[in-house]
Amino acid sequence: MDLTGSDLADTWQEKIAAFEFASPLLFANNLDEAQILLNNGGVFNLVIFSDQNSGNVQALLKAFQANVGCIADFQGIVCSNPSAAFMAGVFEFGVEQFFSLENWAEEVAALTRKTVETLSDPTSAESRTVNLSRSIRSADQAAIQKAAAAIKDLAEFDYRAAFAKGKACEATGDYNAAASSYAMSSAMNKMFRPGSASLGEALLVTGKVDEALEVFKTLEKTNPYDVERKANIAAAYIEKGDFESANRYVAMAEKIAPENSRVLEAKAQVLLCTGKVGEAFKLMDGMSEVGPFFAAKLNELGIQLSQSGKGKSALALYQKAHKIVRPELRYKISMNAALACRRLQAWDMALKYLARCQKEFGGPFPKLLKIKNSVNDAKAQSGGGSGGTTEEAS
Amino acid sequence: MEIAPSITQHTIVLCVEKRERGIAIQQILTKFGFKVVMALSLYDALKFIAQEMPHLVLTDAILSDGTAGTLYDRLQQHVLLKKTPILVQVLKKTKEELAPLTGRKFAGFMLGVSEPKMLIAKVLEVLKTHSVVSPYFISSEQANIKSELIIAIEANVVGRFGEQVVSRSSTEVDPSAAMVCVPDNAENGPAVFRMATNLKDGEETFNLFPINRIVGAGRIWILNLPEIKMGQQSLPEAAQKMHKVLFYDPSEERANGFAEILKGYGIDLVYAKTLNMAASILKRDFEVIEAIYLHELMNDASGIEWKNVNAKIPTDRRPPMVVGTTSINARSTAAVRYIKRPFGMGLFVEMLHASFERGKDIGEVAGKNAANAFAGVPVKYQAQASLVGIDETGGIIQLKFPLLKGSRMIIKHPLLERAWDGNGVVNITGSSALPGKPDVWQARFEAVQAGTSKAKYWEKVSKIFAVIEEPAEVKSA
Repeated sequence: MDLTGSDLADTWQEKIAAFEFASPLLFANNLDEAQILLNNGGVFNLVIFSDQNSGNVQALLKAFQANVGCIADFQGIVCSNPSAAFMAGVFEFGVEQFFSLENWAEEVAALTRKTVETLSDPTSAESRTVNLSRSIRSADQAAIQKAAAAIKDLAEFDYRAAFAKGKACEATGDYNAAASSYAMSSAMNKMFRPGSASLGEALLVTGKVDEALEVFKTLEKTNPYDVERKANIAAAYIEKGDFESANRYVAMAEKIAPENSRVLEAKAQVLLCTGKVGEAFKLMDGMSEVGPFFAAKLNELGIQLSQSGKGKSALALYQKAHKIVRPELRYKISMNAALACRRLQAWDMALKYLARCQKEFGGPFPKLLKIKNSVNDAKAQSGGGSGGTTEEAS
Repeated sequence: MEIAPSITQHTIVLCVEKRERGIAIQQILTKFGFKVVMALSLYDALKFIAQEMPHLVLTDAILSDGTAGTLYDRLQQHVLLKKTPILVQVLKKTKEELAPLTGRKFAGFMLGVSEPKMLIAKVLEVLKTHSVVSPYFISSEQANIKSELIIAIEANVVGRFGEQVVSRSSTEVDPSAAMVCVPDNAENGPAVFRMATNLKDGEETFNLFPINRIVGAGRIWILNLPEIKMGQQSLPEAAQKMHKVLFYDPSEERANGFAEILKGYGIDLVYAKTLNMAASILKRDFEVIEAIYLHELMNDASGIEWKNVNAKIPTDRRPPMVVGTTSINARSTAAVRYIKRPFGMGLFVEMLHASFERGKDIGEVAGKNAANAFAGVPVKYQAQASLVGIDETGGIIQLKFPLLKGSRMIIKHPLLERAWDGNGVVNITGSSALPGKPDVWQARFEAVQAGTSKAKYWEKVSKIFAVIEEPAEVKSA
């Protein structure tokens, strides 16, 4: 992926001709194209040509982490003289390989050979991590659990595997287990920043706000330029009710990257907490790949609206939320939407949401079946009561 | 299989009639990296060729007691030595000089007195054509032997210091190597170690590996290793301390960026915009500087000045030095650790942290003579490699990372071990990446078993590998 605007599109094929690549190279020079390639699932290496830590670099690294996994050895940045801020920025994703503009072709050839060799061993930590990431991406809960079980033994002594296990726990909604996996990962490798950053996020989701804040602030000391962390610190301060500090961090993050989705999340969170729901909704249009913390916040708000009789507002919120959250988190939104419909006695719509939930989850699960039965019973009785005691998922 | 250039030091037997000319040629060849053995007669030449098994014989057409023709004929009678290429220097195109050369397949000729450049070019040309490695070199494919092997370094893990595992071994380990640490006691699991730093204390070598980068079941016993305590300072105090690093980078903006980020890692930069400025700071503050980072170290006036200043500091007080380089062949040692530019933040921080330890300090508390030192966990650092081929002194292996010249290690290969009477210890004499393949390295090794007689060694090895023709009966004249 070329983010330098050079003439690489015309020259890259000539440059690679002399070297042995173990897999074919695909070239992209705009973010959308690169993200499509990553999302298609056939890409295992990412090489970015860039001379600064731009939002596009961050977006690509994030997409790679989501689609392939947090495997530093599979990624590289081509930049002959990176600044400390750039190095620290990509190190947030565990990336430590930089290639010079003079030697990038042979280095990338070596990168592909190493990747193919590693992935040809299905028992390697990398192979299992890729499988798990693919399962999480498919959002198929049964496949996630299977892939997570395959990596379980490694997670005790491989920080990358522990991190991947944490992601699997997150995808299945078990944030406490995710937090312990991330804690294990960052204890094994104190320099592995994705582990520590995800630990902070999981602690935030599980309500351990002070612990989360401590993790984020420790990371902040060694890289004060990370936008997402500033947004996370802001989110933690919002949880503590300290809006002044939250706004300070939001402002700092906005100054670095105003369009960053995570910054918009923090801003929307401030608006939601201060009752400015309409404004928050507007901001949500610019978001994508929303993480578990804000997704939980949206579910929480939806539940409140539904339980207070504002079912239609809840459904509108869920509709918006469904578009912006990560694929593995969508099934919860669908389930909550179904419950909101049940309260509204919109039985058919509830059943539609439940069918979508089942599809997103990858199959039926006990809670879903219970809700389905209660909706069917209520439908049969034609408007007879709320039909059960099932609760929404946050 | 492709062979990495320049990992073999070629031996040349130089046969000349006149000593003075021989010395001049010897100097030229030696300067170019060849090992040269000079003979002033046919008799000496034959003796040295049998002893040295050279990769090339460079001879005058006329010798004091014979001719190049006689030399050729005698070598052709020898089953081991007949492949030796002979390059003949014809000083005068006289009948006397040319006649002995006819009808014989010499590797090349040089007419008249050659200029040094021409001489080297011709020697390289003949070597390239006849013996890229050695005339005796047999590849694994040719010998039809299994190429997979394991290299191993014997070591003793003596404890942990902060975030580093400390081991004592007889050899330095390259920072880019990833090796499996296999404890002799099978109850302790293996683990992959990488990013080594080497420290020297007299004859002792300590290898330090960052615990952060260790993966594998062996982490369990590693975390239970005793902590090495230096002096009165406890580990938490050591961890909280800001470490002063002399930082030379021509870009002040870049240095400022590093200063801000490295502060969070407990590193306080003392900035020098030029190498001369860095030399002045080092001269004045070497007692407080704990490590040095140089963006580059050139062989220009400022580089020489730097080296002079550094050399004047007592060895045990000299701050460890990390030097940025763009060369993939620059090999780190205990004295200078090279970091390939451009590098990543984690690697740089780990390398600086490892630099704060000094060999002398570690040696005092964990060395062989240290009082109350932990006996240690005997281990082997292992990696997979493949045998490219063998020759009269050892051979060439291929692996994914460089081996340091001078390293001593064990090669585990059934046939080689048999040839070496069970002793697989070898010395590494050179290492280089294949052109265009920074992930494919070849290393030349010499078998310790070779001893002094290459001929006897090769005879024995080649019989085991069945790569030598059976000697034909010599018909008497």
